Amino acid sequence: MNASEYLPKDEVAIIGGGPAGMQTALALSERGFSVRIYEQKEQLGGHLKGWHHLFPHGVAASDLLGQLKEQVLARAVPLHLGQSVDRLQKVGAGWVLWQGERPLGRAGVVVLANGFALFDARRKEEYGYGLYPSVLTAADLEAVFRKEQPWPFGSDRMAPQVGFVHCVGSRDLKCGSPHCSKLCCVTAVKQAMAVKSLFPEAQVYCFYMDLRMHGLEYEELYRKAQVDYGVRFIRGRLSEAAPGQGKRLHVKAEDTLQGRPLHLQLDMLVLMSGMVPAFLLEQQERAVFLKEPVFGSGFVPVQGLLAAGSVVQQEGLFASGACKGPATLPEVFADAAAVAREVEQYLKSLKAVAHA
Amino acid sequence: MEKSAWFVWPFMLGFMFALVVLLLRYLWWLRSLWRRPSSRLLSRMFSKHSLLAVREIFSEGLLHLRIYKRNRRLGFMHMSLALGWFMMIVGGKFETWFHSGQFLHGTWYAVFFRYFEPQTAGGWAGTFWLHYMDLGLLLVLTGLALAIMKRIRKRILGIHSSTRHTLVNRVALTFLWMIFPLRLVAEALTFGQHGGGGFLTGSLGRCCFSSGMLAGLELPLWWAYSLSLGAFFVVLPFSRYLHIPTEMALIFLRHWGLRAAEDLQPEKALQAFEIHACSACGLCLDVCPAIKDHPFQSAYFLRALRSGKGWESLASTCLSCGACEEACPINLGLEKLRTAARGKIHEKHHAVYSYLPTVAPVETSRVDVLLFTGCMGRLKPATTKALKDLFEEAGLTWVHLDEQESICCGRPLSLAGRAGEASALREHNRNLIQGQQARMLVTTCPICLKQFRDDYGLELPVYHHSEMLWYCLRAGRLKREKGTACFSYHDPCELGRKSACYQAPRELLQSCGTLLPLEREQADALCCGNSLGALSLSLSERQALTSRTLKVLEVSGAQSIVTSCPLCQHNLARQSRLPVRDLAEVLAVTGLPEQHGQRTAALAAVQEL
Amino acid sequence: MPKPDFGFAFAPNRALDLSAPLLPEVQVVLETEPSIRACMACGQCAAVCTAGAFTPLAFYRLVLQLRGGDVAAVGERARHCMLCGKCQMTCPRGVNIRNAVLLMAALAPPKP
Repeated sequence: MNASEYLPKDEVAIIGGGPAGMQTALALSERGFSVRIYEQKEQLGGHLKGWHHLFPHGVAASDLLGQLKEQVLARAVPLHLGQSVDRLQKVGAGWVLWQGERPLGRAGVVVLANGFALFDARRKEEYGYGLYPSVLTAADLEAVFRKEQPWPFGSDRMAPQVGFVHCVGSRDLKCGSPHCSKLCCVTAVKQAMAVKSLFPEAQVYCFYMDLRMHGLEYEELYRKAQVDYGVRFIRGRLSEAAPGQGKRLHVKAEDTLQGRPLHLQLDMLVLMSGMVPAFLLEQQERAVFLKEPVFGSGFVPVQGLLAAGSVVQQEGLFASGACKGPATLPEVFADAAAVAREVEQYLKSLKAVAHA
Repeated sequence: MEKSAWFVWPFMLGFMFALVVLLLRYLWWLRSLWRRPSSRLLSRMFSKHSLLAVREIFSEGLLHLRIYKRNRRLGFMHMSLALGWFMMIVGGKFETWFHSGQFLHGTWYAVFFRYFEPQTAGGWAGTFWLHYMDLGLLLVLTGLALAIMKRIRKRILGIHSSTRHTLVNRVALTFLWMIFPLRLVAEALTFGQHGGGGFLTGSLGRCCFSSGMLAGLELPLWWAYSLSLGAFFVVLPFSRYLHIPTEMALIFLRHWGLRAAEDLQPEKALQAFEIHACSACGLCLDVCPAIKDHPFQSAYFLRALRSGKGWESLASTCLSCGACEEACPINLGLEKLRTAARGKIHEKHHAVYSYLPTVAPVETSRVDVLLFTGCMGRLKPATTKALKDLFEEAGLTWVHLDEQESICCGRPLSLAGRAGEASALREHNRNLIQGQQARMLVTTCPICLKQFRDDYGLELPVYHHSEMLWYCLRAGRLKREKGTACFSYHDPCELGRKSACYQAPRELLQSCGTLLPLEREQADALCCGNSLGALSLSLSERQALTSRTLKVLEVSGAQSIVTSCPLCQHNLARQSRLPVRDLAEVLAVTGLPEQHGQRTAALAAVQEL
Repeated sequence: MPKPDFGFAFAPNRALDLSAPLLPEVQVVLETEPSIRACMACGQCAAVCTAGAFTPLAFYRLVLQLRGGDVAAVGERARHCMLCGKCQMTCPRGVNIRNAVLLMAALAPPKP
């Protein structure tokens, strides 16, 4: 079969219009390939849309998103918004993208860049998310920062007691998430500092298992939170949230360094919901399905010695960004460049075969 | 009249051997009774209890009605083997009596009667006995054919799993299978040569064995019959066929008021009879939620106890879900045996609770309900909140007994075989409960429920919240309109099989929505995998069981899974695609507002686009 | 040449000696219930502990002490557990805590 026969005009289809999708699209477009973005929502941006400011430097999320969008527009990358690809069908060396029974388009290469989902905190009922209004997730707190949602305590409370729980739905085999979500630690530090900036009298506690400050300047941020902001870090887990005095929550925890149980009254409890797979990749011989994840399903598996983007068992299918596992924005951007290079090599090899 | 022959000796020797061994074993098991005879046992021995025992032996030892109720084909197999053999034993006695006019004979006489008296006359009555004995033989042979079919293709008998046997049991099985075909051929040959016989043996003899050339085969066949009988009797006391006499003895002992000990004594008193009364019929296999992964089913557990080897791991991995005890056709106290075994493994465990503060009951005004949510209830705030809302709605006053701190009810220790160690906990809780003035104690935890009901001796009635809500519904204190919601209901082991509460949760759900039928529910329901019974089952093994249970519950059309145990809900909710809620949450107007997981909701939204 | 002794050294029993092999009874516990090795001392077990509200019982500390070879203390403490199983239900690493506690409690003989 002649591969070039099936090579469509648009060489690369990118599924997902978040930071990973946009950056991969830009990197490929800069290399001279024609690229399209398929985004299930009506707007580009992914989870970044909901963020207020970014660690470690506090850059406004909307600024970064604006820049990315501008570049995508400047390069005139065709956008298919509101289109949710749920099936990829292999035809020749290329792919046909489907949404239900509707074909959305064709491409020689598909890059999965459809990111992650946040762990549903309701599954950990003991923390009372959805039951007590003062229990928020980290994403909810960003919405509060963005003034899209009110603070869960009255405006009269100038010195709120605030607790952050790390590792909610990550590093938890019972929740089917054995992995470390890795950026919740620094997110909690960032949010704790933000709360302290807004309420200087606030008492802020972070309940952690291990603090994983792996990124550039994260450790410095942690120290700053301790020293400059007075955030208290307690190595231990929370037991459960129960109704406390007034509208407060009563929480119990273990301080593992002191080896003693503790309890306290909180005005706001923030759950650091971990990153979990947004979809389950079901691979068949000549088709790939993007399905609803089930308990214990993992991120997109890729092959290669180190960071690589080629999806296991699928020629011409690549994955970029956090759909392969938890990743920070700098990592997503670096990955986009690496994946673009891999895609370029693949397309060149395909053309060489076609010419020969 | 009676003539003896050498060939009866293999049978006689085997039979006498079995009798002596059985007698010795039974006497050994009952040794404690000789030392300390129980007056209760003696008084019951000569009362209607013995008649009741005979009736049970007839219905279960012969007719096998409980097996029949669960699985007709399997029940028929057991019935035809036991009843047919019984017919032949009784019939043989009467037949020899009838023909010889003498009641007592050597045991061998009735067994080999046809050889000695091939041409018995006796008019219509003689003919009756001939046909009657053939009927018994036919019944046994039918059972045998089914048993062979079961070994080849068990699906024919409506079962998925059958017991894998040890060598001695396979030897015993072989001899047992040989006995009746040999008897058929031996009798047929005798009748073929001498004439006469019933509808089976006579006809077979006339059409196949009348040739004079076969006359020389007659004696060897009777030898073979006697040999297989004798060999079977020799291995009987050491094989699972020991269950035949032991089951009967067990039924008598139970009716005479003997109870199994709390600690493990596999060679003593009722426990010994229970352990040896198992016929390995296999009913405990198919019902076990872990049949595909583990060999801890009761048939194997009891076999391990009989051999004294390997029972420890079987006892500590088993979930104690109670499915096998529910299915056991001879009602063996399997749960008690398992906890006894666990207690034996951990006999060095001695709990110390001297640190507990003494409870000074606070004087409170009289309330309707004393609510106890238990250790696990603490992890389920939505259930507790929903239940309190329902109390308000029903106009009930309540006190939440363990809102602040509480201690364990003691049942988890009992499930680990250390019931005695829990007495301090029970004492503590009993003081707490009895210090309050309330009409009833309501608990959201089926584990606490069972413990409070069975082991606390409380003066006030104890209810599970599903029972209490059901009473409220029936009394009109709660009113619900049937909505469009479709539920599948998970029966918690501790509430269903252990406390026989099936109806209340079902009627509650039917009052506000549609309850979907499931492949396995009520007494056959699967364990969620989170049972406190299992001590050493690993997380991945538990999660595999949970996903199997969820497959049953995620029946098409179900919008949510409902259960009524904090452990089940906690465990199922972590793994389920569908939302898993407590009964109280479903019933309460206020519950979690949006029940679908974010991932599910997001996907649904995407699919709508 | 003998090393000079300035009189400063670890006080006896102050330091754990990691070069010493694990006690055989500790090894038995770890082998009988291998999931103990998965403990990362996050403290979830202690946070939810029913008995822990009344007495210094914390399973993750028992694990640390067990590895440290302090079997007497482990046995003593483990006997305060009520076996309610709340910790096991919430343990993120799926440690079979109830079984582990039963094994640990057997390490110290009961006091008369």
